[in-house]
Amino acid sequence: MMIKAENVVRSFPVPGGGKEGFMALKGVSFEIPEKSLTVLKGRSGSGKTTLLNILSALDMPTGGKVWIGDKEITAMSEGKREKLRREKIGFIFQSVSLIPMMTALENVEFSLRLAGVKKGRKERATECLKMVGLGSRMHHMPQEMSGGEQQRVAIARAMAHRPQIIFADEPTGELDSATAVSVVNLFKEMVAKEGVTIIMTTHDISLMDAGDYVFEMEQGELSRG
Amino acid sequence: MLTLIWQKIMHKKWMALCLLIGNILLIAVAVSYPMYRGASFQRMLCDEFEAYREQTGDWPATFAVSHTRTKGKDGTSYEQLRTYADQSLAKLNVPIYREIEILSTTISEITPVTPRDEKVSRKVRLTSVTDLADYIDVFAGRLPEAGVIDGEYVEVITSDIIADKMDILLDEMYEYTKLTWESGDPIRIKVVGIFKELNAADPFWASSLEDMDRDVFMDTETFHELCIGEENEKALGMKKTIYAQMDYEKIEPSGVKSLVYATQQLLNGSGGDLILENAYEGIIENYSAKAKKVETSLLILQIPVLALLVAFIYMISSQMLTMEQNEISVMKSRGAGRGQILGMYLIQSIILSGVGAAVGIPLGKVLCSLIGTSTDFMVFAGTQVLEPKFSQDVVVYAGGAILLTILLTILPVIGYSRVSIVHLKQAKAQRKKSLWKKLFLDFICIGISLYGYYSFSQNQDNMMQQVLMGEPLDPLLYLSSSLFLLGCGLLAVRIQPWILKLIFLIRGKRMSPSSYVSFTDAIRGGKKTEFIMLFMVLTVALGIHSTTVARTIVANAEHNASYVNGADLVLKEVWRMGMGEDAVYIEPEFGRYTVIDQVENVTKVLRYEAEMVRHNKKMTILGINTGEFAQIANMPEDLLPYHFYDYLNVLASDEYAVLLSENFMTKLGLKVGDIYEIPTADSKIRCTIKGFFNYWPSYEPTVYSLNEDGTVVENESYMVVANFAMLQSRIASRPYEIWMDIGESTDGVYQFIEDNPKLKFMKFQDLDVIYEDLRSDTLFQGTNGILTMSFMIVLVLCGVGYLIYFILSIRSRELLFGVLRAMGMKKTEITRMLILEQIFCGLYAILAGALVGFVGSRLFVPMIQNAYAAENQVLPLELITNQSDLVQLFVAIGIVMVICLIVIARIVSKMNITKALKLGED
Repeated sequence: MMIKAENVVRSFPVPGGGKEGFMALKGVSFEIPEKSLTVLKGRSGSGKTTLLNILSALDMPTGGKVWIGDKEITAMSEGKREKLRREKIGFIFQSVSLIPMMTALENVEFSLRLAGVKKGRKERATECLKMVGLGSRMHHMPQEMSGGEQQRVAIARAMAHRPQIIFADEPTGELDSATAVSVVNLFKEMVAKEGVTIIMTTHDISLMDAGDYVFEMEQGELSRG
Repeated sequence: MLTLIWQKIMHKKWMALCLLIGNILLIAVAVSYPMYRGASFQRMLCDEFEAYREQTGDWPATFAVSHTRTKGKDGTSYEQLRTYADQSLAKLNVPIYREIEILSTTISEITPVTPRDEKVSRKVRLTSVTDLADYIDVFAGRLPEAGVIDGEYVEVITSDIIADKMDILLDEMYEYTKLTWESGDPIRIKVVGIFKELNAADPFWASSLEDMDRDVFMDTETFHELCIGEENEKALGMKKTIYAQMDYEKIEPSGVKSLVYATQQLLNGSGGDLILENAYEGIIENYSAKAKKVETSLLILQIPVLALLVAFIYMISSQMLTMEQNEISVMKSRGAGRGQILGMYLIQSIILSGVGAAVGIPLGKVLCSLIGTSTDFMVFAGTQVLEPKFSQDVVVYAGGAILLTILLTILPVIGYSRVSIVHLKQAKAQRKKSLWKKLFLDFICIGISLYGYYSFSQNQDNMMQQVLMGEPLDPLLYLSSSLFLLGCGLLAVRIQPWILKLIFLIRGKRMSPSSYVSFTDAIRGGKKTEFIMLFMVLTVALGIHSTTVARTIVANAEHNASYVNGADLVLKEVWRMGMGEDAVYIEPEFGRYTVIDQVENVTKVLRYEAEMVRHNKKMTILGINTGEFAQIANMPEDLLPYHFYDYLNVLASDEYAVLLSENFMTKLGLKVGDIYEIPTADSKIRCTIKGFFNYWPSYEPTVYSLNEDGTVVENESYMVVANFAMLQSRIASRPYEIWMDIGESTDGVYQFIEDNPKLKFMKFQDLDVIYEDLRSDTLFQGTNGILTMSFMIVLVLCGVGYLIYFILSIRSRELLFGVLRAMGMKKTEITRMLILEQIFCGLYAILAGALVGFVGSRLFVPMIQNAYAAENQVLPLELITNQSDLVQLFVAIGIVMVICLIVIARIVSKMNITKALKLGED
C-alpha cells in the first residue's frame, strides 16, 4: 500500500520559543510504494521519529497531509485511526515493549486479539514466532530472554495480524551489529514473503543500504539518501 | 549534599508527603498513649481517693502518728513526736494539704469554783486543736483569749454536746480537783464560749466531736506554753496525735510506689509506743490493681494500629526506594560508597522524622485530649478535660517512635545499596514466590489463633475469675485475635489469584483484550500487589473489629446497667417513724412524684430481704403493681421463654400468686402450683407458685464477690415476686422504692429535689448517672478513645495507601500503556483495564477484609468483652456492630475509590502516546 506525505509540518510549543515553537518537521513530502523496505536515516533529533509517529497515525501533524493507500489519515477521527492502527499497522519500538506478564506466544497472540481475530490465533502466533526463529522459546517470559530475542518477539507481534505496514522506530538501537543485521534480513524476508510495507528509522550507517528506499532526515527536512 | 537531598525529596513530593503522614501518625499515636495514661491515671487515682472520701467522709490520704503518755510516767515527749512526724513526712515526700495537731491532757474531775447545788460528776480533758477557730461556729460567748488571765485561770470553749452532757455553763469557772500545774497551783478554767461545727462532714474533723466528747478547748499557743514541756507533760499526762492530710490531687501516679514503700518502711520501723495509721495504702492498692489492668488492656489495643502504621511506612519507603533503585544503582556503579548512599538516606529520613516529630507530638497531645473526651465509639462529647502530661515516658516513647521511623526508612536502603546496576537487571529477570507463601505463614497464624481461641473458650470461667480479681485479660487472647486477622488476611491474598485463574479458565478465550491484560497481569504479577492487598484487608478487618469491640463493650455494659437498675430512676425515700410504742412508718405523699416534669410513669416497688421459711437462706421479696411495672421496668426482650407481659398477667390473675427465681426450682425442688409461704413478723402468707423466671428487672441470679484470700465466691440469690397490694395489706408498713420511667431528661427530678430540700433518700439510682460514670471510666473511655483513634487512622491510611499505590502503579506502567495505545487500544479500554485492576485488588481486599473482620469479631469479641464485664454482668452478651460505623467505613473507602477513578480517568485522558513511548527510550 502506498504511503504519501505532502508538505508535512510539525512544531512543538516551547516555553519562550515564540509563536512557531520548535519546528521538528519543516514541510516534508515523499511517496513510498507498497511492499518495500524503506530506511529513514538521520542523527538523533533530526525529526525521524516525529515523522514516523505521524505516518503511523500516532501523532497529528501541525500542517500537511498523509495518505495511506487512498485514505487520508490526517483527516480521520481518533477512533478511526485507532482502528487503523489495530488492523492495518504493526509497530516495533526501540525499547523492549512486550507486556511483561505474558509469554512470548501470548504477547504475539495479544496483537491478534486486539485486531479482532477470533480464530486460529495460536497457530498464527506460533507461525510468526517460528519465522523469527523463536519456535523453541515461545513459552518463555520476556524477562527470561535476551534483548535480541525480545526484539524478535516484538517483530513477530508486529506482523502477526498481517498488517499492511509495519513501522519500526530504531528497532536495532539496543542490539549488537550482528543481531541488527539479522533483524534487517528478517524485514527483507517479511517484505518478500508476507508482502508488507516496512518503514524503519535508524542511525546505524551499516544498515543504510539495506533498504529498497533510503531517505535522510536532517533538521526537519528530508532528502533522498 | 543537602540541596541534593532536598531536590530528591521535592522530586517525589507526594511520596515524601505520604511518608511524612505515616511518620506523623506513628509518632502521634506513640506519644498519645503515655500522655493519656499519665493524665487518666492521675484522674483514676484522684477518683479512688475521692470515692473513699465520699464513702467514709474522712480525708482519704491521711498519715497519722500518735502517742499517749500516762500521767506521771516517762515516755515520748511532744517534741520527740513532732520530730518523728517531720522526719516521716519528709520521707513520704508528698505535698501536705493540712496538718492537724490534737493534744490533750489526762481526763480528770472538775468542779465549779462557786459550788452549785446538784452533784454532777464532770470529767474533762484540756485539749488543743490547730486552727479550730476556722471550723467552728461559736454561737454563745466568744473565742478564748490567750494566756493566763489575771494570773488565775485559762479560758476555754466547748461544744454544745459536752456542755449539755456535763452541765457546763457559760462563763462559769471550774477547778481541777486532782490535776495541778507543774508548780502545784490549781488549774482553773473558765468556759467563755459554746460552739458547733460549721460543717461536721468537713474532713478537718479527723477526730470527730463525738470522739472528743469530754474535751474543753484552749487556745493552741497557750496550751503549748502551759502544758508542753517534759515536766508539764509528765505532770498532766498527754495524748498527742498529728494528722497529716496529704494533697491527694497532687499525688502523681508515678509516685505512689515510693509512697507505699516509704510508708511500709515507717510502719515496720516505728516500733515502740508510737501508733501510725494511714488510710491510703488500701486505696493505692486498689488503684494499682485497676491501673495495671487498664494499662495492659490499653497497650494491647494500640498494638494493631501501630503495626499497621509501621507496615504503611515500610510500604511507602520501599516503594520510594524501588523508584530510586536505578539512581542508587547508577550512583553505585559510578563509585559512590555504600556509606555515602546510606548517609544520604539517613539525612533524608532524619529530616522527615524530625518534621514528623514536630507535628506528631502536638498532634499526639490533641489525640490524647480527644481520647479523654470520648464517651462512645466515634463520639467525642465528654466535658471532662484531661490535661495531657509531658512525663519522662512521653520522651521515651517519642524517642522510640522517631528511631523506629528512621529505621523503617533506612533499613531497605541497606539492601539496595549493595546492588549495582548489573545486579539489578539480573534480579529483575527472576520471579520468586513470596517467602510467606512458601512458609505457609497464613495457615500457621490461623492455626495458632484457633488453638488460642479453643483453649480460651474452654477456660472462660477461669478468665472471668481473673478479671474479677482485677487481673487484665491474658495478652495472648489479643494476640490470638490479631493473628487470626493476619492469618486470614494472608489467606485471602493467597486465594485471590486462584479465583482469578478460575474465571480466566472459564472465560479466557473470549475475553476482551483489556480484560485479558488485566487478568494475566493480576494472576502472574501477584507479588507486587500482595502487600497493598494485605494492607487493605487488614485495614478493613481491623476497622470492623474495632467498632465491634467498642460498640459491644459499651452496649453490653449499658444494657446490663439498665437491667440491674430496674428502671430509669429508682429511689427510696427515708420515712419518718410515728410516735408512741407501736410506732409505724409514716408513708410520705406519693402523689407528688407522679406530677414531676419529664417523669412519664411512676410505680411503687416494695423490696426487702427476708429469711426463707424452713431454709436458712435469704431471699429478696419484690412487690409490684403489675400494670405499672410493665410500663416502667427495663427488661430486654427475648430473655424469658415467654413474653415478659405474660408473666405479669399470670401474677395479676391471682392476688396470692408469686413468681420465683429459677433456683427455687433447681436448688430447692419447688414446682408450679406448689404453695409458697412468705414469712411476716408474726405469721406466714400462703401463696401459690405460678411460674419461675431466670431474669427479672433488677434480679442478679449470682453475685460474685472476693474472699479475703482473693478467691472469687459465687452467691446464689433468690427472688420472690408478689403483688404489691397483697403484701401491703399483710405486712407492716415499710418504705417502698419508687421506680420511674423518665422521658427526655431527669432534670425535672433534680428540680423537684431542689424544691424539697428536706427530702432524704436511702437509695437514689439514676441510670443516666450510671451511664455517665460508665463512660468516663478510664478503661471504657480509654478503650473507646483508642479504638476510635485507631479507626480514624485506619481510614486515613486506607485512603492514602490505596491512592498512592494505584497512582504509582499506573505511573510505572506508562510505557506499557503507550505501547498498548500505539497498537490501537482505545482510551476507554485502558480505563476499563485499570478499573478491573481496582476491582481485583481493591474491591476484593475490601470484601475479604469485611468478611475477615466479621468472622474474627464473632470469634474473639465475646472473649475480649470479658475484660470489661462488671462483676454484676447478668445479661448474656450480645455482639453489636453498629451499622452506621460500617457505613462510615465503606463510605470513606468508597470516596477513596471514586477519587482513584477520577485520578485514573485524568491520567488516561492526559496520556500521550508519543510521550509515553519516549519514556522507554532512556
